[in-house]
Amino acid sequence: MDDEAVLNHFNELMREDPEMSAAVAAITTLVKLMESSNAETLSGLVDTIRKATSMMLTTDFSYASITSGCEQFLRYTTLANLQETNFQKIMLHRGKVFLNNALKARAKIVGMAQQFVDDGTTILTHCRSRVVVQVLKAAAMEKKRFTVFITESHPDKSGLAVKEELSKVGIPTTVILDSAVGYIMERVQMVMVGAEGIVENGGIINKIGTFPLAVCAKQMNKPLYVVAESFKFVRAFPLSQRDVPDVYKYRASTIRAGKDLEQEHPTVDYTSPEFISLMFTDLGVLTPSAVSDELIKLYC
Amino acid sequence: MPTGEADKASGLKERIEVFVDEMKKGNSVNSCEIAINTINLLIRIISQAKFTNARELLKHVKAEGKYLQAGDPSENIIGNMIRRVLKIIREEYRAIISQEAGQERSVNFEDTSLADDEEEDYAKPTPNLKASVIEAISELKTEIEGGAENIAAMATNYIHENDIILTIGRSRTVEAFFKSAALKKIKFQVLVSECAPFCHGHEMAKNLAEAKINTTLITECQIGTIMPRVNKVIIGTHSFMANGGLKAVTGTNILALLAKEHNKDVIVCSSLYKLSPLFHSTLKHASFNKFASPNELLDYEDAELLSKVEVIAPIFDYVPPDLISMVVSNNGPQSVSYVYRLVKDYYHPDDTEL
Repeated sequence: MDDEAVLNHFNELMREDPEMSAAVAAITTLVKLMESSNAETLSGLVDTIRKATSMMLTTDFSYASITSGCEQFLRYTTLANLQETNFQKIMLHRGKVFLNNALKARAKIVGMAQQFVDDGTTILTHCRSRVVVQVLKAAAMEKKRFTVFITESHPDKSGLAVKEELSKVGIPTTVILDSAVGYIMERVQMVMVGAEGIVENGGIINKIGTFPLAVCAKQMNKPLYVVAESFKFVRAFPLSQRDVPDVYKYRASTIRAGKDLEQEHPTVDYTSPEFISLMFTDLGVLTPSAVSDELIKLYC
Repeated sequence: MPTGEADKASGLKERIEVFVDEMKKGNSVNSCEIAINTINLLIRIISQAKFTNARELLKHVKAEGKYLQAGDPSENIIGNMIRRVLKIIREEYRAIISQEAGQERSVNFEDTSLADDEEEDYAKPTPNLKASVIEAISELKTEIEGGAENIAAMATNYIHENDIILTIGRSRTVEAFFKSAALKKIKFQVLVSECAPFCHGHEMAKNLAEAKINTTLITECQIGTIMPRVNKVIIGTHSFMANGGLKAVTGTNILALLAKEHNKDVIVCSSLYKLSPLFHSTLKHASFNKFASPNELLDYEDAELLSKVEVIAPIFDYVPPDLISMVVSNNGPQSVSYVYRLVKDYYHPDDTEL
């Protein structure tokens, strides 16, 4: 599979199934790549995978998710007792195991998180996180009655799409201005967001606007719950907004176009762990302090 | 002998009924006794259970456990013991299987989150399972019984000469903690908040005074005024939630908030069998809290008032984890943010739903 085929396959997957996470599509592409690869050495295969990863990172999909997913995939498949003659088979098998778990991750999280949605709660959420939407839908299927406030989420106005989706299953949803977060906070019981990446200290990288939402929630004593799959755990340790690398903040096409980044709006921000109450991942319900432990286990 | 077995079975059923009844009536015995009683029942249930593999045993214990917990859904300790036993069964099963397999797993990278646990269906027959499970449970029992003693042994690390310590209500663990320090000839003062309306604090104050500790009994209202003069707060708890929060007697939340306000350390003395894998938000109020008779707050003689006023007497409070400095447990001092690790060690995620 050459570079173009990799890109085509990846884009095809993202187009066919809008519900699929960018990381899962990337991992699926990598498994396909391994199947069709004729690399004869371990380092040859690893190189191919790395090249494919950097190809997929040139697309405009979430940089954080793709990097973490592919990095973990590579680690998991190569960290095994590999004999020179047999490595392809073992790596492919492990790759498929990893992909399998990634596919099941969301369902696990939904099962856990929907228990935290009680009858009569009002939930505030931000931007379009597929996991959060699925959690809310699952809670609605359990015949729970709750209301949702969703921010418009400029600049892509993804909040409006969420309202449509939730209204279809009968959840009373209201779209609010991004700037109305402080106004609405006294009326909600909890805030639930997804994440594009979870960093080493338990903080998250998510759509711009998450950080002020988190600060407001903390100030008004509302719990902030993060729902994200474990393949989003990233090996980064930002201490401030500036520390988050530019490749996370701006789309690949923006950086390529050589625009002056100081004049561009960042698409993500960083929320530190002190604002997060609990994280729902397929590894279980974790407190932010548990994240670094889990990260070590994943990246060894 | 068939009749003997039938007798045994009905004897067990009777014991279970008595236990569930006691829980329903709310004849509160202390947490340690509840834990030991639950474990004894579980040992009997397991010894009398008929099963061909671990999976059936797990199912059976879960079903019986669910019934035991239903007696008093707010009593986490019962659920904790059941889940500990389930985890013990799983561990013993794995130990026996890997011993029989007799070899190390070939893959170096042991990632518990991704690997074999998914495929483990506990269906292989294991002849010695019952015996090793019961042995492990007896070890657990010893651990629980010795809990308060282990904690009391660490008292001198936390209680210093001339300390003024504030506590609330009656906790046997904290009482033993204080008595142990007093025995080592440390002079300190204890302020006990009476914990209205049940006023367990009175008994605590009496017991401490008998141990020749300088004790003062105060009411909840005085906590705010007295807090600046206090050195530290040492409390017990009914149980811990999985995020590190406490489920403690009413009044503890206020005590913790005031302590935070005045920058005083809040130390919780409690054994780890009180740690529950549940979060307080997943428990409906019916199973998080228990309510006492309104008679405690308002006499039945004021019947006229009673018809116009809603009187609520909850027994427990939820204390969020950020108000707690540390936990002195039978395994040594722990930080509340470490609790997730303990939950992972002691309980299996599949057992959270009984």
